[in-house]
Formats: sequence, structure tokens, C-alpha cells
Amino acid sequence: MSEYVIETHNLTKRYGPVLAVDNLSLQVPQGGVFGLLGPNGSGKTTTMGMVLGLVRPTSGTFRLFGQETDGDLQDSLHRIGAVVETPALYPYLSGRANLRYFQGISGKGSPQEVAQILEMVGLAGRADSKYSTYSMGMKQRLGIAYALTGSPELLFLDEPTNGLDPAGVAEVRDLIRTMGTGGRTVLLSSHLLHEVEQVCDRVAILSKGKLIAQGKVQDLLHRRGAIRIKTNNDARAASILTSMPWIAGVSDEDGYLVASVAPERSWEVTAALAQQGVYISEMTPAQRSLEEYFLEVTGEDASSGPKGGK
Amino acid sequence: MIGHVFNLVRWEWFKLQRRWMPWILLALMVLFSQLFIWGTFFSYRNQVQSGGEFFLGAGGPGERGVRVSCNDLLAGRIPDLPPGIDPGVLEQLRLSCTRMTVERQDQLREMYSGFTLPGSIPNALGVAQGMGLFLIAILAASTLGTEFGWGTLRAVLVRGTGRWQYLTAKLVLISLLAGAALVVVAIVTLVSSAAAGALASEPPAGAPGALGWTDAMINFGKAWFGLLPYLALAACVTILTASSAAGMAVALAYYFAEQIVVAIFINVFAWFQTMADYLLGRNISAWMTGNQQRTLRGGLLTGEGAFPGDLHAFLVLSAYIIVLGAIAFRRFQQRDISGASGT
Repeated sequence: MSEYVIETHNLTKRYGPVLAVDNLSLQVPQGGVFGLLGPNGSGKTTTMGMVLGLVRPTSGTFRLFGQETDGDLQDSLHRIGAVVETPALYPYLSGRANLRYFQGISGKGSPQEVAQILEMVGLAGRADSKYSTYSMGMKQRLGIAYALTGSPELLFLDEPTNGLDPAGVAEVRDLIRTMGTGGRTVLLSSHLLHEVEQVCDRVAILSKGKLIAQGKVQDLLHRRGAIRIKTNNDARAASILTSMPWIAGVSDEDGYLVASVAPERSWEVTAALAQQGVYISEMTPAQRSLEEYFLEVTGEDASSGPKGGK
Repeated sequence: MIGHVFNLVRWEWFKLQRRWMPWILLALMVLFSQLFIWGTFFSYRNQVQSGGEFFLGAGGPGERGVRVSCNDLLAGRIPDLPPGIDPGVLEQLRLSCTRMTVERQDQLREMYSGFTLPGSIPNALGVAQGMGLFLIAILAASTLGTEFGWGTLRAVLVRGTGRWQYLTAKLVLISLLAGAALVVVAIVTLVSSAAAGALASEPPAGAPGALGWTDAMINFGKAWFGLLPYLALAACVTILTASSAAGMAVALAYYFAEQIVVAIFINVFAWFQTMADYLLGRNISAWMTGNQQRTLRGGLLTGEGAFPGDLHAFLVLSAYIIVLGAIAFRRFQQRDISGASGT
């Protein structure tokens, strides 16, 4: 078994003059929640579409579950559950009948599994109502339920919290975290930075079809060369630290002082402040938010970009 | 692989049976075939009861007219004639009625055979097939096009369904449903013909109608096969355009456009006859009408030209099915499915 469930190599998709995905080489390890982050039009959905066989790559290759696909994805797709773009199921069928149909065509699952999944996504009470009568939030939940039928090893979820109310968003995020346990991998595509930050273990950042960065979320957020401190007298501490030539800068962020200094020299900071009668109550390597990191590496806002892009 | 396709056919039926549309289309097919059977029945009964009718008088405004039936005349029941009508005309009508009674026997036998078994079955199937061309185009365009329109094609394909397997399953199901609809028409006709036969008076004297049980079986096969080219046309256009509306519109528009174009051109350009012999609708008509009705249908629907033969029609229709099907499969296999309509 390969370490990666998805590996792409120079995957490219061009729509006429538009380069939707540009030489994307991505590795999604097995297990956990992997975020595909980028503004609208950055190529997230096209990338998912290529890996799922919906969109033909212009060039490049990819492997699923360690296997070369060679254009034949059927066996691999039987191990995958996916909701790409908005959830789209049959409007004239009930939620239950929709799930039974998709179980049926993949030849896996049972009515009991459908009942369990409907219970899990909170739709047991409306299971026999037609899909066309569902609210957007219920459709999102049924979309997740659809992806879960057949116990897939890999789940693709494309903007799964779109249209949900705040309570629904929290529930779905909990559900995604749960789904990413037990060896299953969830590939979550989102333009919501805080969602990815809260839910994902690893992330790949796309911008204008290119892979900008990928890695563990904690590693990406770790700000190199800065420490965050809390003291008994922050104003005096700021004054002392600013006067030290080996500290590049000091700023106040959310009630903490952030000093631009390598974390390895934190003992010198502690000593310098203590000599002046200022004592540290809290000290950690400084982290930035994913939003800050995103802005740093892409120079654009994650929620911006062309709407409805490929 | 074949097992997978049959599994898909089964689950496509699971879906389709929950829609109203196929049931409405089936009801229309049955309704029109039965209208034909019962229309023939009432027409026959009227002919038998009256023996044919004449209308006398009402030559000017305010004048009274009178309906004179042959049965009354031949039975000596003389009607009151409107003023100004020469009573001698009744003798001429009586002679006409006597001649008509002899000539009408063939027509009555034909009509009787049209609504009683076994001749009613091929007749009903012929009507169902004519109507079925529209209905199968609607069904095919709808079942394929809505998958694009609703975005459900994505959901189906990412389950590892396989593109050609899925399209094959859809087309096989629609073909089977077309056959099943014809079976339903035949069964309903069996019942309604038995009822109509019981309600009708004694069968007309002479040899029974020309159509028998063998014709019924042959017409069933012909009617079913005759529906498939329109299924292929509607499916092909729907897949090329990713739109139900376009699939329906093009298939139906083609049906009427061909009739009109052929009717005009075949009378203007002699060379057009050769071209017309390779058109879809004309070959379906040739395939369905058979030798005995060829001249009548040819005159009514496509100008004066004679239809091509059965083998020619079979080969041309098979070619249409294969070519349109191949285009549909190739496009479906290659197209990107992104965006709501898969375009």
C-alpha cells in the first residue's frame, strides 16, 4: 500500500486559452483530513474532476491508492465517495431512494447502511421526503451521506459547508473530522481559510491553477523567527525588547507581544527582561493564522477570484 | 461487464419508474391506439346500421334537408322528401345502394378485421409505433438530458459506473421500455378488441380480414425496431448538446421537416427520389407500412413516390442506429463533465 492515496504529477488542464490547472504535483497521504485551499477559480474543482475521471487532463499523470490509472479509474472509483461542486441528486426521489440507487449502481451496501448513514447526517426524520423539498443545508447533508455510502476509503468533499447555518457548519465540521479517522482520508476543498485551519491536518494551497504550498497545517502556520510572549508589564517589556539590537522588531498582537527573534534565543529574551524586573508568564513560538500565511504566499484574499471558475 | 450493465439497467428502472413521465407517455400510446380501434368500431357500426347514407335537400337558406340511409331505402322505408325533390331520385339512390352494398362488403370486412382479433393487433401496433416515434424521442431526451441538467451525471460517474456502461444501460432500458409499451398496447388491444367484437353485430359475409396472428407478431417486431432510430437520434442530439430540450426539439423538428421537404422536393426534382430513399422518416414509413399500404401512405405522407423495399429500409435504419449511436457513445466517452450541465 502506497503512503499516498493521491499523487499527481505535472497535472495540467487547459480550457482554450485558460490554464485552469498548471503542472500540479500533489501528494495526499493516507488518513486524516487534507485541505485543498484556494480562492474561487484556483483550480480546486478541476483538480478533483480530473482525479475522479470527470475531466480529461490536458497533460500529466496521477495515481490513486498507489496504482497508475492509465485512463481506467473504475476500480479506484469504487473505493471513493465524492461530492463535486454542489450536491446534485435526483429531485423526484426521496433521500433514502437516492442513497439506495447509488448503492445499487456501485453494487455495494444495504438498506441498513442507508439508515445508519441517514441517522449519522441527521436526516433520518426526512429520509422519505423528496430531495426537491430539502433545504440547502439538508441537501449538503444528503450529499455527504451519498459520499459515505459503500464505506469509501477516500472522500472528496467540495465546499461541504456552503449554504449551512452556523450550527450546521459546526456539525458538518465535526462530522468531517470524524470521517477522517480510522484510516480513511478526506480531501476537503474549500475557500474558507478558518474551515481548513480548524478541520484539516494537511493542506495544499492553490492559486491560479498552481500549487503554492503543501504540508502539515501546523508546519505552515509556524512563523519562523518570532516568539509570542506575555509578561507582568507588557509596555515596559516592549520598550526593553525594542532597544535590543538583536531583536528585529516588536509588535502587539491580540494582547501578546510578538518579538522578531529566533525561538532558539528565547532564553536570552527571558534573561534580558528579568534583569530589568520584567517577568514572563507565557512564551511560545509565534504562529500566524492560515489567512496570514495565505496572503503571504499568494498575495490574494482566499475568498476572491473569479466566481464559478472551472 | 455484461452483468454490470444489467445491474445498471435494473437500477435505472428503479429510478425511472418513480417518474411520472414514462407512465404518461405509455398512457398516451395506449390511448391513441385504442382511439383507433374504437374509432374503427364505431365507424363500422354506423356503416352496418345505416348501410350508407345520402343527404337530400337544403340547397338554399332556410330549406329543410333529410338524411336517407340505404338500409331504410332497401327495406322500403321511404322518408318524407323535402319540397322540390323529385321522388324519382329515390329510385336512383336505391340502385346506388344496391351497388354499394355489394362493393361495401370488402370495406366492411377490412374495418371489422381492424377492430377484432387478430387484425386489431397489427393495426394498434402501427398506431402506437407512429405515436411512439415522438414519445420515445421525448423519453430518451428527457432521461439522458436531465442527468446533465440536474448535475446528477457527476454523482453517477464518480461511483465508478463507467461511461459506456452507463449509456448502454440507459439505451437498453429505453429500448426495453419501448418493447414493453408495445406489449401493453397489444394486451389492452386484446381485451378491447374482444369487447368490440362482442358489441359488433355478425361479421360481414365473405373471407375474413387479411391480417392474422403472424402479421401481429411481425408487426410487433417491426414496430419495436422502427422506434429505435428515433431513440438513437434523440439520444445523439441530447448528448451532443447536453440538453433535453434540444434532443426533443431536434428529433421532433426533423420528423416534420423531413415530411415537408420530401413532399415538396420529390415533386420538383426527379433526382430527389433517390436521396429521399435514404432519409430516416421515409424508411421508417417504408418499414412499417408494408406492401399493401405503400401507395396510400406514399401518396399521403411523402408525395407520389413509392417507398423503398423492406430490406432497403431495414439496412438504412440499421445504419442510422449504428452511426447515431456511435457518435453518441464517442462524445459521451470523451466529454468533460464539469459545471452544472456537464459542458
